[in-house]
Amino acid sequence: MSEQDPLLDVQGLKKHFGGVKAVDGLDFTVEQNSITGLIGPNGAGKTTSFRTIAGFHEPDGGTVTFDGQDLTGADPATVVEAGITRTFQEARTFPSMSVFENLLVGAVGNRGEQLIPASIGASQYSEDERRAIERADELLEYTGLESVRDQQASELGVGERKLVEIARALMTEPDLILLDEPMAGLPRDVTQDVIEYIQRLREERTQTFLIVEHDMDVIMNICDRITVMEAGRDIASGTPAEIKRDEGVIEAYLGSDADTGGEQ
Amino acid sequence: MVAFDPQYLVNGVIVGSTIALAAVGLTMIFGILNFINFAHGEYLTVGAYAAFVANVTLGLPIPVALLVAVPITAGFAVAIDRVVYYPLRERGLGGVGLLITSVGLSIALRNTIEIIWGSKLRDYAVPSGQAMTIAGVRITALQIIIILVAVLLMVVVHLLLTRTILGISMRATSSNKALALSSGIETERIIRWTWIIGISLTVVAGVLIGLNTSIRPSMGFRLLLVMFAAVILGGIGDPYGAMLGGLSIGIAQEVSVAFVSASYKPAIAFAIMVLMLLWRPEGIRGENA
Amino acid sequence: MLEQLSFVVSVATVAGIYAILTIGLNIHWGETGLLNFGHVAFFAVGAYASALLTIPAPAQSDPYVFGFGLPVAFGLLGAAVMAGVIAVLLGMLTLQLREDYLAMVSIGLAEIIRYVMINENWLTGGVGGLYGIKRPFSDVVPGEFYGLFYLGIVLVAVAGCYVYSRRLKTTPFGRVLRSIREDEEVAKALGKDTFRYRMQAFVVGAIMAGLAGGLWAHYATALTPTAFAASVTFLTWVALIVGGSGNAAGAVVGAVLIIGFREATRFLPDIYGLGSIIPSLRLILVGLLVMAVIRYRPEGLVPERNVSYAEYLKRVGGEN
Repeated sequence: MSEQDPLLDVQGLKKHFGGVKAVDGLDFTVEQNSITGLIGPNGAGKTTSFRTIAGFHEPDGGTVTFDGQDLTGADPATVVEAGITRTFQEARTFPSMSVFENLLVGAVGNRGEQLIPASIGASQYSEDERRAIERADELLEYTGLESVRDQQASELGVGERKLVEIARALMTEPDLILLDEPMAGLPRDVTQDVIEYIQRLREERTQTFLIVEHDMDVIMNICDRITVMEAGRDIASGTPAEIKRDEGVIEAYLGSDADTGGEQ
Repeated sequence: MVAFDPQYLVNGVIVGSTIALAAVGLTMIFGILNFINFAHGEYLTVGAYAAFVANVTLGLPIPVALLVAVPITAGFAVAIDRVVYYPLRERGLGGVGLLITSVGLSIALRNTIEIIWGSKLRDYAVPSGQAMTIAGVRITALQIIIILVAVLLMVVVHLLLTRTILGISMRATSSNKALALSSGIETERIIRWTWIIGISLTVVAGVLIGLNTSIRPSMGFRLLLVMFAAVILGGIGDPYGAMLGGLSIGIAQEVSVAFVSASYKPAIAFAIMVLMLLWRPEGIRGENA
Repeated sequence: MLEQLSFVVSVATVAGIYAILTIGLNIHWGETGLLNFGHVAFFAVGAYASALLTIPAPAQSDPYVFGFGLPVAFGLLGAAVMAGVIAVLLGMLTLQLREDYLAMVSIGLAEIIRYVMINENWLTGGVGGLYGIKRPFSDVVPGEFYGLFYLGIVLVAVAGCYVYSRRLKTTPFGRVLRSIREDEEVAKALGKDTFRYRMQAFVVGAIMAGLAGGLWAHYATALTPTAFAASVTFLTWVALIVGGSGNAAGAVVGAVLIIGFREATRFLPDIYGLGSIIPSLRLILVGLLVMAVIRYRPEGLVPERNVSYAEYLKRVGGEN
């Protein structure tokens, strides 16, 4: 790969909750078109970092630079507009909306989402809406979800809902997708489908991912680079092979749920 | 310029102590439920009317009537929960469905009471007593008793929460259910006792209010928002906050008469509640619950 | 025969006004998930605004201060605008709250508004209220047909609100509202400014309630604060729950049923001397009805349907 600035550059990130220093000096980067992992024992501050980067918490220190843009402390709307979209741990689709509607909500820049144009009539926004419909159709096909297009999201199995959630995130045309424990609560066979989906997206659509995960197998398997967190800061960064051998990492994981080899 | 009249303060303490008692009951129950029960006021009304039946219809003296009204109302509350809310909880119905159900239940109960006893104001069979003048304020012996009973019960609650295992377990459960469960506290038993104590306090509050003024089918409903205001003011789940909140609102309502029309009194409580929810939703005492 | 017809016409008029109220509440709760328990406040503001804009300037003996003598159309417009303004103010205060807190605050604020109506004679005429509110075109339409004429006006308003609400549902805006209803945090994570959407939904529903209030003022020709008690909010909620939340059709069906029931039972014969308890009995039935609906058919009579793929396509003129 040519010399490129990292897509996401987090430096010295801090987030405190009263006396608890959930994140206390986190440094890591995510390269273009990579699948980067963020791991660590329970309470290391992974999800808090995620939420802070995505704009759900105000950082108490440090910087978040994305594609040259300073996103430190930006609100979620700004973050999405800049090109970062996150998913949630529990496959949070909109339960009583159809799969298709779930995707449509993800579309950005649809003029019909503003009250006045929507009130005046479809002529005001038909182009944006048509584009959103086309994109949703295309993603449904790509993800293999056309058969459940009109079903209510709550009727789907958890694996399908996870795919819907990722496809919905793709609707926002993100440069980076933050996956928050994507395998949480998924049965083994479904995990494989999701892994393959993520890898396909990276290969075929040059999508970049940052994944927080507990499941070591998945992380070692799928990630190009991994950053390990402990007690709010990064303690190691490198390829899966390097991380496996790192002594500090091994110690951090002693006694925690590192080898969850079996079911979640 | 209106010179500050201590009568307002005294009136406020009388009313405030009954609100405080009701609020302590509500805050305990609210702390373990997961929805706003709009029918809660009806427990107060049912308690007041149960005591009325015992006292006026059956001729029992008021203290006995009170002792009788508590288990009757508690039993009633348990029955209502079993018949109305339990089936909904089993189905996994969320807080909003329970809330709307409680609104319907509140209407049905209130009007049933109205059918049985009519909408007229009723009074307990107690001598109203002469108003005495102590240090320039007018107060009756009954009102002094009301304040004393309320204060006594609040002291009992305090002792319960700090000196008994049950009380300490209750505090632990209300602040962190998961932790309480894992440390071996039988939350089911705690919840049951919280209910019983909460309802009991509510019933006593209802009777005291009836003694101070009168009883009517809508008394609990009218007081509901005021009770909620006191609970919010003091912090949900915090009994001491509820005591403080109830007293403050009672005093604020009475003192307001010096500045605005007396018919604004309930609006004072609402205004306090709205302001608290906007400014400091966790209550005056904040995280010290 | 004519008397029965006139009765039906007046029931239909009130039902129509409640239908508009309920469609507005549906936009709040059914579409956006806003637990608004203070809906009567917008109704009241609209009614008083329209009345004050259209009654003649006060005489010496009148306690109230305002009276602009404008035509009814201005009154209705003013009703809608005032309700919208109040909604913006209330919304700024309350929409950041958790949904059940919103319920309590909205009741509290509506009650405060009611107390203001009762006490501030200079504004609202206090307990005595406002009277002699004019009816539109009353000099043009002959007396025996006026009821029908006014019903026509109300029905036009209902139709307008109904069509607008239905269409809004199929727009991207309506979609975002539903997504906020389903999971606000996820909607935020997709980049939506959820506060702005909730505020806009709040204002739209409030404007409808204000319009309903204005229509009520010119129907009743007299306003007192007792007409704006919390029972109006409660009836609207019952109508929405029973009829079916999440769609305007359910709102209309519910309003017609509930008002129809209320008026039909208002004049029940006094059999067995039960006459005095009939008002309470009616309310008990309504309370039980709400509980039964939530328990056995929470989706209401007209369940909400998803907007289909074909409908979305049709809206933008595409064929599959």
